[in-house]
Amino acid sequence: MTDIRFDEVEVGFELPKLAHSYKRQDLINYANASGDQNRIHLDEEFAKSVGLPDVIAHGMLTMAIAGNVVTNWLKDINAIKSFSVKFSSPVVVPNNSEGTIVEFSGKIEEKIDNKQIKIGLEARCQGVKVLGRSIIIAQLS
Amino acid sequence: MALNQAFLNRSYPSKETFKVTKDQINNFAKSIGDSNSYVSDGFASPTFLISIQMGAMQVALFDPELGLDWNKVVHGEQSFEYKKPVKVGDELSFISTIEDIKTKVGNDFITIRSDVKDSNNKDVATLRATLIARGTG
Repeated sequence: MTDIRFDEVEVGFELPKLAHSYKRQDLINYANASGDQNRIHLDEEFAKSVGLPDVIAHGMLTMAIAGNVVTNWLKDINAIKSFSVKFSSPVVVPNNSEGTIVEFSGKIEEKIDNKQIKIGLEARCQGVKVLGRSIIIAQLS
Repeated sequence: MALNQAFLNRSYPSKETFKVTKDQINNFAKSIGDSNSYVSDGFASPTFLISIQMGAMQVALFDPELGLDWNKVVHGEQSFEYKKPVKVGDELSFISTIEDIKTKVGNDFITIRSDVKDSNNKDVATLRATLIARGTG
């Protein structure tokens, strides 16, 4: 069980933020770990041939990193009851050393029954939201 | 081209069980930057099951009669409902069901639900993926 207590958190509390720099190698690593070898994530020429500006990150990689905002805070996998996202804009990853930075944040939106909370998540790349409505329901102690 | 509505409510059980290994959990966690201690304790990151759902969905989604144009597909939405965490040694089975098919402003939408159980037939999780094929409607 997580050490975070339901009685001690308030609606509006902001979880510690997270910034992640996406590099091409990250997409290769995620493709290998997840099995999603779609060429739009790996092959610049192919991505451009289907009308994308460049290679784009897997949406599921962005979802996973958004999840880290909550798991890093709660440190308990049992606490995560549901997780849903909408993908609104792709993260474009050019072939350079600095990568593309996405900033992730989360805020408690609601305290619900049975010591559960609703956390709203955001991910922004150069000010643009890359996730739409994204929610984790978590069980506190 | 609109998607074939005959596929609505069709279910696809996974042909074999999927045995979760420590390497898979570790590699997935590493690739997403999840360094929480539950990973070294043998538990999978919250979105780990997507790596299995992808395979389980493909049987349905690559059927040419469905009419899904893979060159135009983007991932629109994804959700997970958890009953128990996935851990090393779990033997998981999937039943994937085409839950919704619709066309909206010229785009095709398809939602696949995957119900995941362990070898004791206990519920592990339910995943939903909505894919969008742009401009084919």
